[in-house]
Amino acid sequence: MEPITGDKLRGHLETMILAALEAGPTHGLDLLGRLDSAGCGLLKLKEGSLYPALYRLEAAGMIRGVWEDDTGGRRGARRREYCLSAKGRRRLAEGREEWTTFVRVIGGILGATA
Amino acid sequence: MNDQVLQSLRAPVERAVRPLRASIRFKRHAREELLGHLVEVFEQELAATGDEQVALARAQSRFGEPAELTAELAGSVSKFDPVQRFFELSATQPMTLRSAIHRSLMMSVQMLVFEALPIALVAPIMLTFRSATQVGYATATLVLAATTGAVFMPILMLCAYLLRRSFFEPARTNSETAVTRRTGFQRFTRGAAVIVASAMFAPAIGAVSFALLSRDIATVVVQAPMLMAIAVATPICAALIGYAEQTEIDRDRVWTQLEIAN
Repeated sequence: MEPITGDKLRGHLETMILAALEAGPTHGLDLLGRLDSAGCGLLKLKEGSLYPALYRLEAAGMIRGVWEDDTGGRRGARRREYCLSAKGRRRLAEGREEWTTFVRVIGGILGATA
Repeated sequence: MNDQVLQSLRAPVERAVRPLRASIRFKRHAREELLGHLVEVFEQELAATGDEQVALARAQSRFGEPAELTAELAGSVSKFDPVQRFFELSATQPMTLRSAIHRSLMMSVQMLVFEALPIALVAPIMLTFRSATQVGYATATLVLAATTGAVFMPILMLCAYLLRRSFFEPARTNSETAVTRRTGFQRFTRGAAVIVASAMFAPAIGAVSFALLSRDIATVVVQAPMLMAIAVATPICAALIGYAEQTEIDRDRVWTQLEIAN
């Protein structure tokens, strides 16, 4: 099966991030790991692209970010841990409903139900 | 991880972040987080391959094209960010006296605008409940306080800039020892002159304000201890602001002086 890359992910990345954060607070790289394992390795995302989406979600109040106190022995920079807010949980529920409707409608047209 | 690798990891981050029209706060946030990510990815790849150059190339490839990331980051800048940028005048890096004066004048205008608002709100309310004389006095007090603030704060910031340049900015390297020593002496002399001037200037503004408000020189004399306290506090505040600014500049320098051309 072909990997799912940038263009196909557009519009869904933010909901996928919310879903990945449902498992608990985490930082960017670990979040990518969760997305990757949930996508069975078929999700191919340029890793830098995750952060603009995180910033948009944070600005919209759907997630909250907290800087780690120290760099944990790594050179260079601290990590930022993100967690889902109540607004984010509501948006995730809406996103799931929208997706279910989308799959049902398009699947019906294509004759390929999930 | 050595410094060279760290600089190589900073480069794609800076290529993505530097062209952004965003506040310093946003850029600092993005730089730190993206670098933190790249460092971790590099360490993962290094553990897997054992080769620094291969790990570096893989980390950069996983990170993505900086130009694309710039566009994506631009779309994630908050709509309130321009407001943040406007107020960041005090946190930017005025490297020249001209830009420091410009910053001070802008701050003065900002203060006048923001102080005009409470005056515009308070005066009509007072006019409803108080006599015209009381309103006139209160309005004069507010206007004088606003003007004092609009003059005092920019001067304080200018003094902070001059003290930073004199005492906190790293000395320019010069192989001629005599020239370096003379430069150091000049810097110290200029800094001392700024301290004296700022210590005299603030009480002078205070004294003029009291005299204009009370129309009585005796009041100014009564307020002398407070004016003396201002005389001591002003250069201390200016020095603390200057030191804080230099710390910020040093923190950003590692990024702003990075060569990012491909």
